[in-house]
Amino acid sequence: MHFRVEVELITGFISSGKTKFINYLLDETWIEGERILIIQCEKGNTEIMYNSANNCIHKKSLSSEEGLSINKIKSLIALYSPHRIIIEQNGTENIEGLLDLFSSKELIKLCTITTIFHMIDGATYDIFYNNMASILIPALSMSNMILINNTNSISKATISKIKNSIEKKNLDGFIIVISDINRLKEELPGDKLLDKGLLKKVRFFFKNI
Amino acid sequence: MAIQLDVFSGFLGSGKTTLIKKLIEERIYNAKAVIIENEFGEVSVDGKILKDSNLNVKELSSGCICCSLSGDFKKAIQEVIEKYSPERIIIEPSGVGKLSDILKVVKESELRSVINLNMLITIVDGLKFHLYLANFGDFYKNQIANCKTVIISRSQMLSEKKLIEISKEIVKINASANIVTTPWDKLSGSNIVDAAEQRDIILNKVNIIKKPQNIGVLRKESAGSARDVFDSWGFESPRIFNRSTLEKILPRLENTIFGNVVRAKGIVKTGQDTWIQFDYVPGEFEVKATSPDYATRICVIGTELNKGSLSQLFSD
Repeated sequence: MHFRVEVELITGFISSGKTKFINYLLDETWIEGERILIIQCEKGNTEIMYNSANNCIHKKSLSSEEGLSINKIKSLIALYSPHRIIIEQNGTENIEGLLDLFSSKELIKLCTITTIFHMIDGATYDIFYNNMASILIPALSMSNMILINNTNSISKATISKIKNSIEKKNLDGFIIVISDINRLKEELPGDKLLDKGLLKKVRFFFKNI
Repeated sequence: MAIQLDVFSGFLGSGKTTLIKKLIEERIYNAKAVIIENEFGEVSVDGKILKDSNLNVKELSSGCICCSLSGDFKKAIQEVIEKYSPERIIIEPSGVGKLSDILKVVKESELRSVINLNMLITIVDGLKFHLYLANFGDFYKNQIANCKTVIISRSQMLSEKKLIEISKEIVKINASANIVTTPWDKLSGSNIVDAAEQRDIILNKVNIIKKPQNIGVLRKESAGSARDVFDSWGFESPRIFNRSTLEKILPRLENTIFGNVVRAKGIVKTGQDTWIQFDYVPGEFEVKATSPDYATRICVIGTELNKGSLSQLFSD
């Protein structure tokens, strides 16, 4: 049965928490038998953690010179046959490049972007988004879920200001405030927001018959 | 007289504005100076400081990257010159811009006859250096490659070993820049300016041994005449050499494998917070406590110097 690979984009500037969020996604939303390919376009200080005995999850790192191209993605899909691809975007690159790739005629047959996540470090929001607007705002405006991270280091007033600023740039994404990126499990209402659980298992079942 | 231009480059949050503020507060900028800002960070040069110091600030568009391109900067500089007739201009460009773009504007346009490039400083956050170097594009290396002085910020949070690693990486990108590795709270604004204006003060500064030299040329202390006759080798590093290590190394300079060493001088970090200056001639050397400098700096003067062996001597 033919199905398109589901693609999740994790965007956000360096050190905003992308890799930690990917680790959380792997923990919370992976289901038995699901093949996931993680493509890292940026290498920060956190490692992707997954059980390497589990041969359903694979990771590919690209250096800052190597980019993703249509052919590269096609060959990765052919090699790993993933059900899902999680891409950790390079935060200094404009997201429009990635979106153009996936909306090309060739890739649109093979994959579909299901969710775009955007990670923000609350402590550096002002300085980064005021000074690197043309790099960061496109990803922010297209994201379905925006996580403002590290809020235990800033005041409630600042958090409100950031939320207001985001709402002007993104009209329908969910905004979630997280005080400490190391406590994602405790702080995120994963059940209600992420694609997991019974509904996903049923979908997956039908894909694999 | 040409207008002196100082450029403070470096990524967001590296400490550019903090450094400019330090220089203002210590009255380094006391002439008629104007600051051109193309970045809006957490720290700003605020009203009170400006009022106290006779400075004006011109802010460029909203800090978007495209605005650091030639057109805007050239116009801003020309406007500033017309409006304020400053003696000095300080530019704080966008943290994601290429330093070479700014230099191009100044060197290649009609501005070049009125402006003298004075300090070209790139500030690098020591804690994030490796992360940014691995993940950022061209602009990050460009800022380091095109400056005259690299200043490492947050160096008080870094070990000597880490500082040495960072210095080595920087030298790979820019072999001729001097690198300030001493924490800023230990340095005065004038230490930093001396380093950035490239005044080769090691040759002039350290002069403890006053006994007359047999060699006529060395009686004059200016660097110029010494260089006419002698060769010199310089070493700059965040490395700490404690007293006893120095006392073991310096006498070895008498060995001819290093060449004919006539003199060696230096300012050396000997401990977390202690610095000494030394002056060596074959057979004796003197050591004196001194205030911190921007890095450990040693200069060896002589003829037929074996620079490779000298490097090894001080690097091991």
